[in-house]
Amino acid sequence: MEARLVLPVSVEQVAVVVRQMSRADRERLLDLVPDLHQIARQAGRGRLDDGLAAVERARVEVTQALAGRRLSLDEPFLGELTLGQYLRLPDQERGRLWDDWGQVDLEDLEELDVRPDAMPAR
Amino acid sequence: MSGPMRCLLDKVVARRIMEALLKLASAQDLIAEEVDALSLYERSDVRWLRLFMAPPTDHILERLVLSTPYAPLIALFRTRAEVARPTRYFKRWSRRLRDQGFTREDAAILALGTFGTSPAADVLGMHFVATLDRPMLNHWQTRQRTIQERLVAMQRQLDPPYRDAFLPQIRRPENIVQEPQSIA
Repeated sequence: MEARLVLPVSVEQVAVVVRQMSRADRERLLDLVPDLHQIARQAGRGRLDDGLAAVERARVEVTQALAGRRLSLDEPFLGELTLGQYLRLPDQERGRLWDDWGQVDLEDLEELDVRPDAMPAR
Repeated sequence: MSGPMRCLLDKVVARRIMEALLKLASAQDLIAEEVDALSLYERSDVRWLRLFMAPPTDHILERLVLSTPYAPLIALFRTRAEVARPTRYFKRWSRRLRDQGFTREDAAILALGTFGTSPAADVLGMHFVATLDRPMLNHWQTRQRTIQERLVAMQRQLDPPYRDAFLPQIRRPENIVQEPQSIA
């Protein structure tokens, strides 16, 4: 029976090391821990099912919210763009636009006092 | 643990959800990250997972809601995502995180995860920060022990309830747990 070792670092730190490994070393790791194959397959399948179900639920909610009407891609969006023009932009460009449009510096906001019985995130 | 868990959406995750809703409304296909973000949005529930957005995201929604065609979608998003507000000690903790090598913007989001509250100011901090920012996630993971030590050192000087502030777990949307029982 293998001796049980206690990890001296967190799983997150192990993940950082794994991400820095070469492909050959990662394949070797999979050989040494074959359970990882099965876990990854099951997680991938579950994630796909969850994703499809979520999209369908959201599609129903969106249809109800818009009373069955479909948004036109020619609809004016922000920044003198139409919705279609915005959605066709590269992701980096859409991110830059959100940075411009969301110009609120959190450091400039007033700090609030929470209620004495505020629930901490434990 | 009592009450629902709380998850702060960073600006990219919030944008992915909004873009997914816009695409569904205009019959466009979604990309994988939009599906993952939308799954998290759909998993939220007042009983076990409350979603929060940062004030800059809300600022964009305020502009978009002025346009009539988008108003129902913004309202839909807001039924599930509240606006997180910075609490006392937010700025101090944000500075500490910048000292750990985070950008000003990343430090602010992460600090909101510890010293952030709901509009009713009845909670302190978030259980999760959902992000797609791999470099920030990696940096958090490698510095987490030091960050925890810094928080503990700072908390010694604070009065309750701020003394009970916690570090959030920083995760990709698909890795936010689905059931409260799976929280360690």
